[in-house]
Amino acid sequence: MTDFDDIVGADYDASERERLRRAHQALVAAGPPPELPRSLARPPQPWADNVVSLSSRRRRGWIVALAAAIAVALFGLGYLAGDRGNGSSLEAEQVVSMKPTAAAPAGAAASIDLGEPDASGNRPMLVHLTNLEAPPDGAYYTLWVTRNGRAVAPCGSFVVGGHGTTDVRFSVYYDLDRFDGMAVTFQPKGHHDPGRVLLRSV
Amino acid sequence: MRLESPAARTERRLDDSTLLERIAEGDRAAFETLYHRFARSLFGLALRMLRDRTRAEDAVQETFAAVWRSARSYRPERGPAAPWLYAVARNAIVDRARARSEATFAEPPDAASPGSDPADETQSGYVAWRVHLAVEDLPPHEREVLELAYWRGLSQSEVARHLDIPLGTVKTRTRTALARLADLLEGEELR
Repeated sequence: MTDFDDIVGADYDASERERLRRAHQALVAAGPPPELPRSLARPPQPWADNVVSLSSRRRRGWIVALAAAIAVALFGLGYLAGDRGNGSSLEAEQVVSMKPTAAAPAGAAASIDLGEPDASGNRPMLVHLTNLEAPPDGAYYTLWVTRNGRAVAPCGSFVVGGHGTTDVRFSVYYDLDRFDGMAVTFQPKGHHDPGRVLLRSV
Repeated sequence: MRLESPAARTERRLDDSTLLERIAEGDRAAFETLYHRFARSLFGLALRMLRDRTRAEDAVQETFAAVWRSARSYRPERGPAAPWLYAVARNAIVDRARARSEATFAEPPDAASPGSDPADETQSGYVAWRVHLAVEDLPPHEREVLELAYWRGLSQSEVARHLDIPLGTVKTRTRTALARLADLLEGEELR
């Protein structure tokens, strides 16, 4: 423990001594700043992150309409191609596109096909992921529904094998109208709260 | 180890307000300089308030994304840059804290959990942040003795041995550094 009297001695008048003591106490109370983790060693590049907020209802309505149109088109194409009923397809009612954040690996992308809820209210979704890295041992990814940019409820967790495309199927009972976006986070081993966002819905 | 580009090194001499004004004009080198100047202390602030490294890292990233988006709203005539940056960082930190509480589905507890007063925590986080910034502003030879004495726990004699300088020099540098630090922190409420 650094001793104030040892440092300052008796050479100062009372007011200066008190001023120095406050600085001394502030240093002790503050403690050292932590070292920057590797992930923060380089500045982010926010100019490269063109994520569009879903907070505007009007924008959201427009996007949903566009997504529905794309979904219909994709469904039509899929139907024509004869790709029906296998594990990597879903009769999409809506499609959610996702964009990478600054924390995502290069080329990372995802889209989510949202199916129609079943009689019990469970809604199937098929998540198409591209270029996510295989997580370290014990780590994984989680897909969340979000509100105002904040993770509110998990849809499911998954891992990927490495670069390339991975399809993951989930089923959720949430009323998705209660949320305004979706996000994929990286979850370090043993970490269950929302981790770093890698992909956000646009 | 701090790594920065030559352009960032040139920008280092600029004050924080000028950097923000340049960032508002889309100057990426100014953004990089501001990042290297504040990232570590902001990470410390976020870590202190969130107590979670991953969330603190996110908060720092979000802070700087917000700085890039909102630098235009900074008005130098209303005050220095550091408090403005603190306000931006605090919003990002509060957002991360809310995300944590919203992400859990458990019912809220019947009684508040014991712990320190959030207002006190915010105040101590702010003071620690300002202290870290002020130490960064000290001349290197003064910063060195303070860091060794206060943050590595070395006695004055140990600092002298570590730096291979006379004990009297260590004491003089430490007192001078404390006085300069007191000047830099003048006006802050140090509690």
